[in-house]
Amino acid sequence: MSLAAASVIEQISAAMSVSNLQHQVNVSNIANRDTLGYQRMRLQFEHAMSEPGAATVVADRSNVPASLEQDLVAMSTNLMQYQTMARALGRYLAIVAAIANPNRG
Amino acid sequence: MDYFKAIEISAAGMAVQQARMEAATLNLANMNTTAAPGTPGYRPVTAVIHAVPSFSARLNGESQPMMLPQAALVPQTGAVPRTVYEPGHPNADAAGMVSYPAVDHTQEMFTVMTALRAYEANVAAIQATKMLAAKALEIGNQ
Repeated sequence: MSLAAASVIEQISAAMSVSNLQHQVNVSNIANRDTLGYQRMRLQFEHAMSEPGAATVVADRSNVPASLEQDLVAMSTNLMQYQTMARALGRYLAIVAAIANPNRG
Repeated sequence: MDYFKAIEISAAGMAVQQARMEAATLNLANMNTTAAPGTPGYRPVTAVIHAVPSFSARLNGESQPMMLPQAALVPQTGAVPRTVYEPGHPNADAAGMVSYPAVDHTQEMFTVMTALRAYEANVAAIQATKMLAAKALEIGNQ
């Protein structure tokens, strides 16, 4: 596998890790809706551009109330993005496999 | 990627909503419960929800443990019973007044509806987590 291919796979898998973390944040915000003193959470991407997958979970200080629908929409959007990345990674791996084994079906 | 953590959070959320539903249905069921004068009658309960560190976080000794919601049914304090003039009632006092629990029917129905919706949202979250895991397993099958 070339370095470029490894880099693409690394980047997609890093993005999937971030998406997975985002899912945990969404799930936590939904589950703790009625918890006394719960501080909503969000992901911070300050270093994400220079370092893929470097998102951190921080407390959401915006104090903007989010409805249940908004949380569900955020979760569905993230789910779609994750599915897209999973499919892209699968396709990419298939291409790499086809290049590695040109004589195979 | 820890999918079980997300499922653990959603399961805790479902348990909390179940407790809210339990409190509301308990209050509604006992709305017309009376007691003899001088004896304590039914006191409406409230689901008090606190955040506690998850078991896995405590087990692993995480510095910033994931907080899970946990509910406890607590009798309401300071709720003034509703008194109704029913002189023929067996539990009426000397003035003919009967004490009923201070249950707000509208508020309890609102709690039932919001708890139901929040429960559904947590179920949807679990379904989404399952889909994430399934999609991750599909990688390489194409």
